[in-house]
Amino acid sequence: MVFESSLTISVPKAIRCDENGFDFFSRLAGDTITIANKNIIFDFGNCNWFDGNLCAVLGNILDGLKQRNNTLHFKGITENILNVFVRNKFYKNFISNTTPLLDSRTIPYERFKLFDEQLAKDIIKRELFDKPGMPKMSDDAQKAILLNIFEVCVNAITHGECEYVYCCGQFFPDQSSPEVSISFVDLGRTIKANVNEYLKANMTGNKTILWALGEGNTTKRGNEPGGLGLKLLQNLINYNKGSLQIVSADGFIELSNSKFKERHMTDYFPGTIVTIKLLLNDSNFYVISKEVDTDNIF
Amino acid sequence: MDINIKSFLDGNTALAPSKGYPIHDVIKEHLDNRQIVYLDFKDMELMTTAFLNAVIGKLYSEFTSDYLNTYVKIKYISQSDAVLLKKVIDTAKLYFKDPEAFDYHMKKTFKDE
Repeated sequence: MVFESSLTISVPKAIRCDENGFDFFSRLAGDTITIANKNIIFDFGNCNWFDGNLCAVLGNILDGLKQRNNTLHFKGITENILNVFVRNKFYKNFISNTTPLLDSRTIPYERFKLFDEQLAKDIIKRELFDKPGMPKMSDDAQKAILLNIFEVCVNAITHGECEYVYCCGQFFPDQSSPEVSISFVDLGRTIKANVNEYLKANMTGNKTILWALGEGNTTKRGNEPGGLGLKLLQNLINYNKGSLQIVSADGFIELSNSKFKERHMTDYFPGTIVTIKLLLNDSNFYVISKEVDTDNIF
Repeated sequence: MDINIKSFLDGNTALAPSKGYPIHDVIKEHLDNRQIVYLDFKDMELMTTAFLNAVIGKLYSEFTSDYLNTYVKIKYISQSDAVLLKKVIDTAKLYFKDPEAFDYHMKKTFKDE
């Protein structure tokens, strides 16, 4: 195999769940989408912070590069970032096939096809709730979180028309308010493309995400209703007092304190990133509010 | 006729709508023949709204609410799944009451903003 040339990508100083972080991934995905048969060097020399959950985004982009027969190299990774990458299995997947350190602070980097639903559920359940030292959540709270995670994954596969959903998470148990951040990523059709096509409209990325978050709103066609998954997720976030970020195309919407905030993206992400931040200090936050009579439910 | 949801799956988890279509088809077949269906959710641990829409939401395009109340009986469903099922049913009723009006309303809501 002949490699035509090398390409060096400089990773910015800090990769966080904010406009700068998502713009970096947007540029990276966009600029490399047609690149094949190259040596690609990721230079982390200037980078001193990388949010662990965002390994899901980087991993999704790197998988595409590998499929296009590029060879990936990494240099200048600081010890702190290297620790994050080793602990969440990102290192094992992309840098070196070493045994990851056992660590209770990560939800390891995974990609799901949802072909084996039972396995997907068992992995996420174990990684989220069976960590030593983590607050024990009520069964209803656990179930609500799992349900919403998979509503997001099913949405991505159905609407993004992608093969895999990528996932990675990071626990922060030592903060005054312990929390977990989990990101789900698909490189596929964006929410903006789906919604604008369905509505025959030309709305901004932010407006299309806000439309998709409305109860009952779905771009599915035919004799099957939908549009509940993202509404349920909002309810969960509001009960938990956590936060939700959705990035898709040039849209970036954040939900916290029961309010939506429209953020501004400079670049265009060719897929969707959903990041959920859940607080762990209220382990019984989810209470079923009503009884349903199933005798006459229809 | 008892239809056990779990018997159609490899475990106690149902996420994708594709897993729900075969169950929907069996229910529909019995309802077409005016046979009472006992839909048994025993041992199900996790079901998404996408799955429930495929199994049950779709039925509202084929049968009336009264017909479904007469011929479909729910068994062994957990309270949290019953809440979820009710949401799916309420959305389906709204959707199929007048799909064009539903679509128009949903589209107009945002295009006018």
